[in-house]
Amino acid sequence: MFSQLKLIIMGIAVLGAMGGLMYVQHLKSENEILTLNNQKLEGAVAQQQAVIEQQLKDIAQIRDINKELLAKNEKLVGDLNVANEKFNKVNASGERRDIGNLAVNKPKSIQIIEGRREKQRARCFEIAQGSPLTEEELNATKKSQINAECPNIANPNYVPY
Amino acid sequence: MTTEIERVKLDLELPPVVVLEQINWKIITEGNQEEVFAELKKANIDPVLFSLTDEDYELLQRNNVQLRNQIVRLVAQLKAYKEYYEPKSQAKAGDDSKTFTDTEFKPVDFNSTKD
Repeated sequence: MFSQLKLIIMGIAVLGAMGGLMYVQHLKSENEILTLNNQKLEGAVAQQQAVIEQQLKDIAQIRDINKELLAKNEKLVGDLNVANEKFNKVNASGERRDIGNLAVNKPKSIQIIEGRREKQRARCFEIAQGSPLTEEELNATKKSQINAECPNIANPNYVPY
Repeated sequence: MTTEIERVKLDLELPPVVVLEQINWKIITEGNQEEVFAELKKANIDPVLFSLTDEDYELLQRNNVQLRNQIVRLVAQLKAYKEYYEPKSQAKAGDDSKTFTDTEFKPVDFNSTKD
């Protein structure tokens, strides 16, 4: 009877030890899973941060590009104004410049001027397509040195006076 | 798991700059028309002129400026797109421009390594 009780107690002790061991094993595996999950989450957070940083960089670049294009557009409007002013310039006595009238009075002179202007117009088209500016164009600061057809794109250092 | 593969860069260059032909303007008035036509005949050019009034001439020049401005805008946009989507620093990183030293580029005699 006593030995049977001993066996039962020993059995309970062994079962308890086994249960404890299994519980510890379970906790260990749970811990490993949690560690792995945590690593994955940390990786995901880092990835998200990289994405956000890239997006911020992209937005800044887009803003710069828009600013640049806007500035360029303003210059182009300037060239259109130059063309408009050329034909509608009002002189000191309040008369509007009339190229037709000038041509009637001085056809030869206007023809020579037009020949020169046509060369300048052709050069303007080259610059518009991306042709690099020459040293002369870059250094032009006087009215006599500039390309009168498109000073805003041909002569970046010229300040109208 | 899927892996994103980046598309090969298009990397197009701008077309070469077109150089326009030089045209010559003739100013013709009531007073000089005979002289102008005589000059044309003398130069063996057909005595005909495709003409514009002074007002249409002004419009033509304005149209020219508008066209030119549009080209500038389009080229600028194209360059901006290229710089945004195909920055030069990235394009250079992926190319096969590695230079070889003499020893790396030494020809290999495959017959000598045969068993």
